[in-house]
Amino acid sequence: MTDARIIGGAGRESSGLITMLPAAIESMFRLSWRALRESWGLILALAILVLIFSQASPYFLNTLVLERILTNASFTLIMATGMTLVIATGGIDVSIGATLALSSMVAATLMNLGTPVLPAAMAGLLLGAGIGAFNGSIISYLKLQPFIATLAMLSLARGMTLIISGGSPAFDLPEAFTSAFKDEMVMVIGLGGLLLTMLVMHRTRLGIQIRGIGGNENTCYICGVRVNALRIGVYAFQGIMAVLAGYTLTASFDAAEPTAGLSTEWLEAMAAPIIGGNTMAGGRARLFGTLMGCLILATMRSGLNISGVPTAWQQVAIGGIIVGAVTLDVLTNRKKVS
Amino acid sequence: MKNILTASKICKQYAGTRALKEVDFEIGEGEILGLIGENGAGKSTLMRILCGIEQPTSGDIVMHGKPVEFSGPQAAQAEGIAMIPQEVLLVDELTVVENIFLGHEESGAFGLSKRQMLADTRAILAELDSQQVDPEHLTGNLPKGSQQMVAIARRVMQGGDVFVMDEPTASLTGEETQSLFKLLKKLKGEGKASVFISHRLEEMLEICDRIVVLRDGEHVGNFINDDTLTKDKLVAAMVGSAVANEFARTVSHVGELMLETDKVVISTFQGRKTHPISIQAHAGEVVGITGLAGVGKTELAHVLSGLRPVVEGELRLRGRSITLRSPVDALKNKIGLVSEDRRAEGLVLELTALANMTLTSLKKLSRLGRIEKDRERQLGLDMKDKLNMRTEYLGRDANHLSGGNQQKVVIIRQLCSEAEVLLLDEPTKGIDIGAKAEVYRLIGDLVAEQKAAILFSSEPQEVLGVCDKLYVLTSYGFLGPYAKGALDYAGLMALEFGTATSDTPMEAAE
Repeated sequence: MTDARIIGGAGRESSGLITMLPAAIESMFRLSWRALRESWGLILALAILVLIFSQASPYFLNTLVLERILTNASFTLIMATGMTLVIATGGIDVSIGATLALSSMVAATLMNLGTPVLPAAMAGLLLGAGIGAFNGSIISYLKLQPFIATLAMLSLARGMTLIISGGSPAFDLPEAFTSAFKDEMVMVIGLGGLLLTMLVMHRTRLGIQIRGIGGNENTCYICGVRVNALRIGVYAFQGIMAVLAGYTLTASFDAAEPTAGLSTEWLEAMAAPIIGGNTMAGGRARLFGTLMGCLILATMRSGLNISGVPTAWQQVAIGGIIVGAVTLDVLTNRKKVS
Repeated sequence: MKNILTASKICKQYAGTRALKEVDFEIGEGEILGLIGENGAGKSTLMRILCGIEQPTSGDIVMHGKPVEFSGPQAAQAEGIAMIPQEVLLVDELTVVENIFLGHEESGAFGLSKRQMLADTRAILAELDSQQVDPEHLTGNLPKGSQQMVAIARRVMQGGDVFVMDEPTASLTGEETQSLFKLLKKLKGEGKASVFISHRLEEMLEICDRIVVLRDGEHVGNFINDDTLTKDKLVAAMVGSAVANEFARTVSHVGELMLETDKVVISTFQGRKTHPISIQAHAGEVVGITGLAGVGKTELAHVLSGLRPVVEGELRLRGRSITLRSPVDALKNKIGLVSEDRRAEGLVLELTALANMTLTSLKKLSRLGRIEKDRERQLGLDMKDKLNMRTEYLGRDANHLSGGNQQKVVIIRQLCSEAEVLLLDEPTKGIDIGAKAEVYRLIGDLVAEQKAAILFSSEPQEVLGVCDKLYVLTSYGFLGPYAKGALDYAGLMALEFGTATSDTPMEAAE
C-alpha cells in the first residue's frame, strides 16, 4: 500500500462505467440478501396473516382488496420512510399528522384562491420542509428532546390549520392536482420514495452518517460529520414526505380536511418502522423492514375489516402486533450479544 | 528540528478553577512526545484545546508557522490535527469499515466506493497487525482492544500531521501496544508527529523522544528521553515530592472462606468457553485475577456479580451453593461489583458525587422512606476525608469529576454498603499514580474489615504488588493460586504468554 493511500486516498481515479457495473449488481444482490436475512421473520409473519385471512373470509383474496391493501400500505409507507430516517438518528417526529393537515390545507386554499396547481403544491411542500427544518433546528441547537419539540409543533400546526380553514374543508380542487396524487399514484409515490431513500442510504455517505448520528452523535461530531445540518435535513425530508402523504389523502377525498391525519394513520407511520426492526435508540435504518411493517399493518386492517372485526378491536390487535414485534426484536438482539 | 505546532501561554479557566496556567508547548516534525501528569493536572484539557474541542481562555497556537484558532474539531482537523480520544468513540451500530470512513467516506461514480473502502480498511488493519478483525462486523460486538485498534486505524486513515492520543494503550494487550508503537515509528519516519498520554511510564520511556510533565495545570518538566531518564525522575516531577511505595499495605488476618467457584466454566464475549475456574477468596484477603485481554477476566467478574450466567460448575458462598440471576441476587448475598467501565456501569453521571456514594446504602440512611440528608452528608464528609477529596466535589455531578475521583466515588460506595465480597474490575484503569495509591489503600481498608476483595486487573505490577494470592487466566488453562512473592514480573508474563516451562502452582494455603 502506498502512503498516499493511507492518508485519505485523495486523487484516486474513479473507475469506468463498465467495470463498475458488476460491482453494482453484486452490491444489489448483497443488499437484497441482507434485507432477506434481517427480515425473514416479517415476511413469514405477512405470509401467515394472508393465509389466516384468506381462510377467514372468501372475499379476502380479491384484486380489489389487495389493491386496497397496497394503496393503504403505500400511504403509510410515504410517511414511514421519512420516519425510518428520523428514528435512525435516534429521534422521533410526532408532528407529521399535523404537518400533513396544515400543508394540504395551505396548498388547497391557495388553489381555491386561483393559484396555479404547481406553485400551490410547491408552496405546501416548502412549508412541510420548513416545518421539518424548524423541528430539526430546535432539536439541534436548543437541545430539545425530539418528542417535546415535535409535540409542540403538532399543537402549533394543528391550531394553524384550524385558523386558516375556519374549521371547514377546502373542496373543489383542480383535476390536475387530484389526478396527480390519486389511486395508483399513491403506490408510485410510496415505492418511488422508498427506492430513492434506499439508494441514498446504501450508496451515499449520508446513509452511514445518518445511522452514525443515532449510534453515537459525539463520535460523528469529532469525525467531522456535520451533525446538526444532517439532522435538520432528515427532519425536513420527513416534513416533505408528510406533505406528499397529505396530498394523496387530499386527492382521494377530493378535499383538504382540517382534521386530516388526526386518526391512527400517523401512529402507523411510527409503528411500521418499529415493526420493521428499527429501534427507537437509533443507529439502524432498515427500510425494507419498514416496507414489510407497512404491508403487515395494512393487511391486518383490511383483513380484520373483511372478517367483520370492529374498528376498536382492530386497534387493539395492532397494538398487540407492535408489542409482539418489539419483543421479538429484543429477544433476537439479546441472542446476538451473549 | 522544525516545529509543526507551537502553543504559547495557554490558559483555560473553568467556573472557579484554573485548569491550565500559561502552558507553553511545542511539537516538532517527526517527534513522538509524551505528556504525563496526575489526574487533574490538565493533560486532557490541553489535548482538547489542541484538538479544537475546547477553546483556550487565552493564549496562542501557531501551526505550520501561521497563527490558528480552532473553533471546533473540524477546524483542528482541517489544519492536520488528528485526535484519538481517551474513550473509544466508535458507533457500535456501524460496521468497522463504516466507522473507519465515518465523515470521510469515499465516493465514486455510483455513490460510495464500498470495495475500495473495504480494501483500504483491510490494508490499514493489517498494518496494525489486526487482520483478524472483520471489516464488515459491527464494531459494538468486537472486544475492547480491537475497538481501540479500529479507532486508531480510523484516525490514521483520515490523515493528519499531528496525532494526539489520550491513553491509547489503556485497553490494549502487550502485543497490540507493540503494533501501535510500530505504527507510530512509521508515522515518525514520514515526518508526522505524535502526542501521547499514558500512565504507563515504561511505555513512555520505550517510545517517546521527549516527555513533558504537567502538574496542577502548569508545565513543570521537559525531559529528552535519553539513557539517563528514569521512571523515578518522571514520577518525582509529576508528584512534586517523593512518593512512598505505591503498593505498601499491611497484611491483615486471613479469615473464613467466603466466595468460592468450583470448576466454573463461563463464556467470553467472543463466545468461547473458558477452562474450568476454581478460586477461593477468604475474608481479609485480596485475591488477584489476571491475564491478557480477551481471556475472560471481565466476564468472570460479571458471572460473580450476577450479570452473566454460569455455563458449568458451582458458586459457593461460605460453603453454601448459590445461584446469581441478577446483580440484585449478588447484592442480597453481599457481593458488590466495582465495574471496569465506571462511566457506563459504575456511576449515574447526572447525580452528585455524594448521591453516587450512597446509592446502595440508602436503606441504611433512610427512616420511613425519607432519606436523612444530614446523615447522608455526614457519611459523605467522613468518606471524603478517607479519600483526600475536596469537599466541593461532593456536590458536583459525577460527570464533572476527573477519572480518578470518579473511581474513588465508585469504590467508596462499596465501603458504605454492606458488601462482604468486593469484586474490583480494573479499578485503577486510566487513573494516576497518586489516585492509584489511594485506591490500593482503600482496598486495604476493606479487607482489614474482614471483607474479601477480588481484584481483576491486567496490570502486572498491580496484581503482583497488591494481591495476597494470584490466579492467572490464559487461553491454554486456568493457573493458580500463586502466593504473594511466588511470581515475579517476568514469571507472570511467561505464564500469560504461555512461554513458561511447566511451573507447578502452589497448593492453596489451607
